[in-house]
Amino acid sequence: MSLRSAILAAVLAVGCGGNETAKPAVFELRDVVAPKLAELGPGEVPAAKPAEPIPAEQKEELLSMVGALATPRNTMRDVVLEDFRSRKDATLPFLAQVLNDTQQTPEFRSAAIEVLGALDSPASVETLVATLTTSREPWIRSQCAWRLIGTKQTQFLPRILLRLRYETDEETAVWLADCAAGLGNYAGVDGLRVVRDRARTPELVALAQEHMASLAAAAGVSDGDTLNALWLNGELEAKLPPPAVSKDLERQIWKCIQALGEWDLRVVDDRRFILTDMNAWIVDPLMQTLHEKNVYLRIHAAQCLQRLGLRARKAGPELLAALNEPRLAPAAASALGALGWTAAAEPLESALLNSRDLDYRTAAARALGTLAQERSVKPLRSAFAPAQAADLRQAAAESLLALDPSRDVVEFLAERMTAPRTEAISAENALGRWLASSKKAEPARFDPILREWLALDTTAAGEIATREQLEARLAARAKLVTSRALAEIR
Amino acid sequence: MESAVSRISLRQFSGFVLLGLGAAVTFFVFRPVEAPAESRVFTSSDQCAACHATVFAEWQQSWHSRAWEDPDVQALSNDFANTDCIDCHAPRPVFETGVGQRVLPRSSRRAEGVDCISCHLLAEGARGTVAGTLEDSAAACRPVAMRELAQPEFCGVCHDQHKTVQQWRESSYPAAGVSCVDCHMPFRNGDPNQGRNHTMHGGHDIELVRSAVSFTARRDGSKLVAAVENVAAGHHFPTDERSRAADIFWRPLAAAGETPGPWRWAYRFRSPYRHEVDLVDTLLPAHEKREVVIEDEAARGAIELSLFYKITPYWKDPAHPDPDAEARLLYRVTLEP
Repeated sequence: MSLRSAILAAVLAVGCGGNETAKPAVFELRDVVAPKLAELGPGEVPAAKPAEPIPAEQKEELLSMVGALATPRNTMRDVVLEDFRSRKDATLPFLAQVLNDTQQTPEFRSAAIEVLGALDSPASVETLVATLTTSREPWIRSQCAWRLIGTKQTQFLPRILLRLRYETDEETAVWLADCAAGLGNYAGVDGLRVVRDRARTPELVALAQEHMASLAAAAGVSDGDTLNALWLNGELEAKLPPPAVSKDLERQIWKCIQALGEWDLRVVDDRRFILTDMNAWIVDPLMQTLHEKNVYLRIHAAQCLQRLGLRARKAGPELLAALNEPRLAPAAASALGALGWTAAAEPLESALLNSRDLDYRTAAARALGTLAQERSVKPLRSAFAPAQAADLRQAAAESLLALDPSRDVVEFLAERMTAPRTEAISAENALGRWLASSKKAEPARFDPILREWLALDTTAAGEIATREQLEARLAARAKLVTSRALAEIR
Repeated sequence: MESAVSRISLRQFSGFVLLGLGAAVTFFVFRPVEAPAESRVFTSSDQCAACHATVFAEWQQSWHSRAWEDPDVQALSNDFANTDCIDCHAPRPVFETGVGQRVLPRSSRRAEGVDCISCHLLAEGARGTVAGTLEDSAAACRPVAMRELAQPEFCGVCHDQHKTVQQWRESSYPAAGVSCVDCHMPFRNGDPNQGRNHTMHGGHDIELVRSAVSFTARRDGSKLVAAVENVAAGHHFPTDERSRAADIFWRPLAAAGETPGPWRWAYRFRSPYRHEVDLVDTLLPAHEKREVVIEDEAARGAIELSLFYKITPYWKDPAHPDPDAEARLLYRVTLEP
């Protein structure tokens, strides 16, 4: 410390002596995930049995049993399945061999899958899920997913949800959604909706429709779309009895949380996907993880809560407290916006005006737009002032567009669409949303403008616009806003 | 008459002396000194341009500066709805999380992409404000010499997400002392005193890509054998798994004045996306050669073969790819019957 700073410090110390300065509340950080996993223990790992050669005699016997199942209308079906059950996991290597043997008939391979489902043990379900994840034969994946329906090994739910994300075979997706629903999770209903709306054949459309309806009926809801909406806004789970959470499932979930700290962002993204598709009880572990010392874990936990949105409302107070942790604050602010946690308006407005961290201020500006509280207009206007950083101004402008769409805000966003090194697409999306909502409120004035706006996107579906095409679209849309839409603002 | 001195008490005298001393100390403490330029808070890379015009101009030309805005990135990341892309396309400072650690995403200034601040700004509490190659406590940016800036682990905080640095580690280049900056950030005019070029050319520089591989073709009886060898890329060809691709096409050679027929696809070098479960990874590791055999009646006459390179992996019409329009030509060879 220099002499000058020492003297100044001494003077300040004397001058301020006795006055307690207000300190922000401390948000406690500690080890959360590792102790939790230690507490849950290693669990029962499905035995990876060495592929011992199966004695010819036994193989013959097992093949004849599978053959019996492969025969249509076999009256001995139940007896054969019971026989397999009595042998527990001893037949798994044989069944896996039959299942993966492309020289076997489809009937035999299907029968092996049926037995694996009927055994319903951790190891047999592991075989089904592993095949579902790695097989390049859609019909095999479909069979595996179908036979998973009704199994009771809840610890496989995270992997089933992840498979739903990547499954390209529509029929398999339908069975996976059914399977998850059987375990009390309705995240797959949205997948059924996608199959219903985009499937390649009328049969698949009908299959998806039928399953949406049956799942809705089982949950006591009028139709599949309502079921999906209720799941997404959290109301369904408030209505239904909470699903049982096995220790094995809990362990899998904490492992998913632990993997949020992995190097590979694709692993992280997959885990975020799983965690946000889980049932609402996931909010508790995620809230605990907000206190984790590992910065990656706590930030990604906040992102998961953001994606859970209304389903994570319980986390509102904890996220509010997390605003006091500087590295977590921007993610916590975004999450509070997504939760619709209106009590956060005041601290977010304060951060917007006073924080030194531009990331936090920008996140606060966007969150306030999502919360859409009238009271936030004034602080957002302050953040929109010309003296502020351009990105902060844009975030404030996008939020103001939903709350107080004045001419200067619209004009500024139109400018941002064509200015260099700006988040032009974000400005474009905000203006697009504003035009759409304006059209709803005042169709006569805004419908023609919105039509023109939409027509200016000439890129074919699935095609990537070139830089030139993108710039031309942005320029044309900006011009449309300044020449036509501005005049319509009252 | 009493002297003035005798009229003031010792106590008063001491008071004057102390006052004088106090004034002297105050003057010493608050005297104008030749201060270094005021330290600045860096909130945008634009602030760097005033003093580092050349570097800034180079960076503006670089693909790092377009990491957020590039339409291909926007499309492939679903307008960054795929949030895992944000971490590296708009990263918080590397030194904030630490070299070797994964970077974290920012929520402001994202259109600046991978900017000066991402690589050079030091974490709060560090000895200086920015990392550089020289120490200068008088400069506004308070640079501190940090060797980490030129180490592969530094580039790896982002580029190893696509396994590029890992691929380099598995090659012979580390042992030869050749690292990322030697090819992608060479010294300006080859002179270390002029600093490193910040255009950071790579997969978008077609000449650099061309220099990475060789392409040959020969006949083997009735078969045609095309060979691609990774002769100079310090990592797989192409790297940046998933997004990039290179394809071998061939077609019968058109006679003079005739329009050539459509290209026929033979082979693709690419690492698939997570959802592309039916595809296998065919990237070509450093130093390796891959031969592709083509057996076709139409290949028995005079033919031309080409190696094309694509920045984005998809064709507009996968059943009828048009490499002339949608890809960039690396090499073309012809073979007589």
